[in-house]
Amino acid sequence: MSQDVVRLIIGRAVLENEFRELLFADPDQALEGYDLTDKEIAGLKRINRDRFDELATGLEERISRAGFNPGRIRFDMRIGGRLSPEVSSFFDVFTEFKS
Amino acid sequence: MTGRIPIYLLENHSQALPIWFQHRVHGATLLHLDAHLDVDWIRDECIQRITDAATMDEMLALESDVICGQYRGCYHIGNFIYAAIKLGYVDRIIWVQPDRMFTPSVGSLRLLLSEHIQGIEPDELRSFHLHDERIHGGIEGIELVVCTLNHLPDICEPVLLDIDLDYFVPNEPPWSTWCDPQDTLDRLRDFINGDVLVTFALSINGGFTPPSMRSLGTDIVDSLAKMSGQMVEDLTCEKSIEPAYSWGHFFLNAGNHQRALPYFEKALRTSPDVPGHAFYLGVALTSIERHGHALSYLEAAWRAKPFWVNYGMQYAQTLRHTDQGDEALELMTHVCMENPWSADSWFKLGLAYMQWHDSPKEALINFQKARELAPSNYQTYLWSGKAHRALGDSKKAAKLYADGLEVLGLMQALIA
Repeated sequence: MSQDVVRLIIGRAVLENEFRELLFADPDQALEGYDLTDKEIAGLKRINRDRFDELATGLEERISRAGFNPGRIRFDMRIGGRLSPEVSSFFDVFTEFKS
Repeated sequence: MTGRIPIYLLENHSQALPIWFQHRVHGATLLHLDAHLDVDWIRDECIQRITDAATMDEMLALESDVICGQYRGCYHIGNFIYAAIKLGYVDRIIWVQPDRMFTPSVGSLRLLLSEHIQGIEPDELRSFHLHDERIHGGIEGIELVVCTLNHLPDICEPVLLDIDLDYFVPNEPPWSTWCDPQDTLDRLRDFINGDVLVTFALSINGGFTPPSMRSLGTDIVDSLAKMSGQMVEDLTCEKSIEPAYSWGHFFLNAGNHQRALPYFEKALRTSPDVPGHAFYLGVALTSIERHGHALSYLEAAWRAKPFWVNYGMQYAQTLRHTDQGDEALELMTHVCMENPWSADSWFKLGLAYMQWHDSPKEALINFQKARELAPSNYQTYLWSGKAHRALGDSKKAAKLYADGLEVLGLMQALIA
């Protein structure tokens, strides 16, 4: 059950910039009201802020590209229907999430 | 696969599938040197039709025309390997990327597969990991290894050697080889002998190779033949495609939309009855924001092929850009109803409701349909989260974001 709360907190921190700011600036206040064990709180406090910011920003940029840019149409990269890798390394080093 | 067999020189890479069919390939290891993976998802109905093909001609008839792209045929240049997996032709794929492209990036690969392979299971997506400078994982129940030629895994079994000319030539200036092709062949010497089935695709008309590189492709195949003592069976068909189209397609893929324009104009003048010529001219025009000019071309293409997903979707987006938002939404809905198997279409319809009509409630309904069809596409979870947030439900929004992170294996890394 508690792991679900941790997941929700992480999901919220990726989605909401303000909550993410608070989580790293004042984790005790951000986590107030959540039913968490001491170990889980300690785990959340150990998340590397820079890496987490990079992840949240990278994901946001990537999903925004899927949307309809009001300025111009970006033709689908799948033109020709072929997969090609591109450098999207914003979450490559998973182990570095924890400092 | 024994005895002297020819090296097949192909115009388009998807021609490899009927060749493998003809040679009764089964359970092989595919050594695939290519800038692209070519495993885009194919819906079950199409797989069944390919499976039911009893002759090579029947299988050839199921191939999409390269100009029409992936939108109606059963297999094409971007997914013929997916078909080979589903048909049991291959049970291990070693995707050898050009050194210039390879990054030992598990994250990039997971993102790519999540976005493109509609049917991939979350567990398979999360199976990818880095080991000895190679990325290992599974798709559709078979092993996929991604590496460079310097870090090939142990290969003890016979292989299908499958090379795309775009392995050697980037589709960006100066459009010259990044490596010495002969050196590459020398390093593949263990796999080049008369008993190995070799397919070599030029990938000009339907791919990413500059048209000026055609002779390089034939030169490389000649070298292959000399090394192995095999004959070359030439299945190229240069003249089947309007040359101006090939150049336009190449520049469009390279991101040089302005330069693509006159080529598509010429292709359309020369062959006005090919819907793809009108479509790509429209695409090139929208890419440089000449939406009003693009409209008539995109409409013509869509009216010629009203059921093709991307023709309809591209026309709809351009309608929206010319202040015809209601018509755009109506058209996108029509496309979805005609192609209910397409997660991407439902997703785009959701985006249209979200971004054009400020209707997160309707967006959610369509994102949900996309999620059901593509349970590993993190984008649908994240956009669903955005829709819930817009509706004021922060808890559901956070949960969907968490689910999206979990699909990619990120949540597990964060809470480990």
